[in-house]
Amino acid sequence: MRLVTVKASGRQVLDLLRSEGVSLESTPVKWFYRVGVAGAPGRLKAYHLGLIYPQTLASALPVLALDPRPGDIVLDLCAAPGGKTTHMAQLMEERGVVVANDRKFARITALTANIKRLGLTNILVTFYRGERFPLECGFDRILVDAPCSGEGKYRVGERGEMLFSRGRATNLPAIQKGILKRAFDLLRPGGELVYSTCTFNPEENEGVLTYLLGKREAQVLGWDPPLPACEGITEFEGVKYDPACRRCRRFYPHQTDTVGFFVARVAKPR
Amino acid sequence: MYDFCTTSRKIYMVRRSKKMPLLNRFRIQQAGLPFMRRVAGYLKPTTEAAQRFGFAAKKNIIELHENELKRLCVEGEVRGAWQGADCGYVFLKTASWIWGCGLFLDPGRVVCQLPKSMKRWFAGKL
Ligand SMILES: C[S@@+](CC[C@H](N)C(=O)[O-])C[C@H]1O[C@@H](n2cnc3c(N)ncnc32)[C@H](O)[C@@H]1O
Repeated sequence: MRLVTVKASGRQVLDLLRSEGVSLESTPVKWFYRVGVAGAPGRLKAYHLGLIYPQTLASALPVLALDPRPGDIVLDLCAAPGGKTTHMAQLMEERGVVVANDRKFARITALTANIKRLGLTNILVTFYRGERFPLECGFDRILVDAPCSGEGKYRVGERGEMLFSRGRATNLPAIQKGILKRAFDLLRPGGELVYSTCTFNPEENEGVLTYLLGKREAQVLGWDPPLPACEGITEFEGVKYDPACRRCRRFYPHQTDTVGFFVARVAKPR
Repeated sequence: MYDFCTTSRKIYMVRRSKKMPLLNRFRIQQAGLPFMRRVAGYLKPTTEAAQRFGFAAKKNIIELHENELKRLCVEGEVRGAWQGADCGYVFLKTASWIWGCGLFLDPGRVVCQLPKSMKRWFAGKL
């Protein structure tokens, strides 16, 4: 879980959690702790007081790669239920603005509930299809935490094998390409975006990035993450991807003991 | 520094930013934090505003023990002799935490204004 240091200091939140019998183990990521809790975090006072956000360690990675700064104007194009949105607002010390967008109304409700629970004041919530987000202003940073087939959610199978399954009936890569291209167009010159998924499927990762590199003057940036990672791949089952994809990062559950993630940093030249 | 933003029923509190005017063109579902709601001609602070900014209140705070807060959640109101509160909305505090609002009525009654999810949880857990 992440400690939310908006209404209280980290120390106060830790003391409250310990008084409720939660055992906490620190991680390499600021505010993130591995916890042993009996039952759901929703049974904790700290939850109802908006002092914690239950989320996996890996979900911090796209936000750390984007590195939003106080004063930035940030867009989170696929934001609900708000784990990464609220993490960004916390890192920005609530200075600057985060626009949190999602296209599913039921999920927007979960997003606004989380913003209220944590008490954050610098988030604007919008309800657009990511592909059609209005081109009204240039953002400093944009997060595209894309809808994906999500097999990264599963760790390893019962017999220790890595689970890997193809996307569902919806054409996810087509949706992901549309959203990523619009995100790039929404960046100001010199701005940066992060494209992330919780799948290992190259068609939804390197494939989507290769599409963007073919359509726009985008630069893939390297990144030194706080958890063990592998490079992006440049070929899979006979399909070749742009060599710049090597600078992306793939996080596997067996190396990080958390869910899988794919993270790409992309810059728009000045 | 904060700005306030209003709709017919709610007042929102938004952290001030030089860049906010750039975002005027978007259709906004929620701006910042819901701060107050108009209820029958009165302004009621939201639970989230109480939790976030209640620490700054100098009066109209009612301190309860955890089991009193639980009773408030189960029974809907509690009675007691509290000092330093005027009739109207008050903040509910246990130990060092503000949970949300109550409605203080003379003489010595507090009516629960906490959200359903919190009431249910308090009733079951504490
Ligand atoms: C992986 S989840 C985002 C999780 C979120 N970033 C967090 O950290 O809590 C992907 C989200 O994308 C949304 N989504 C799906 N299609 C979309 C589209 N075309 N435009 C914008 N959002 C979309 C889904 O409703 C879903 O909430």
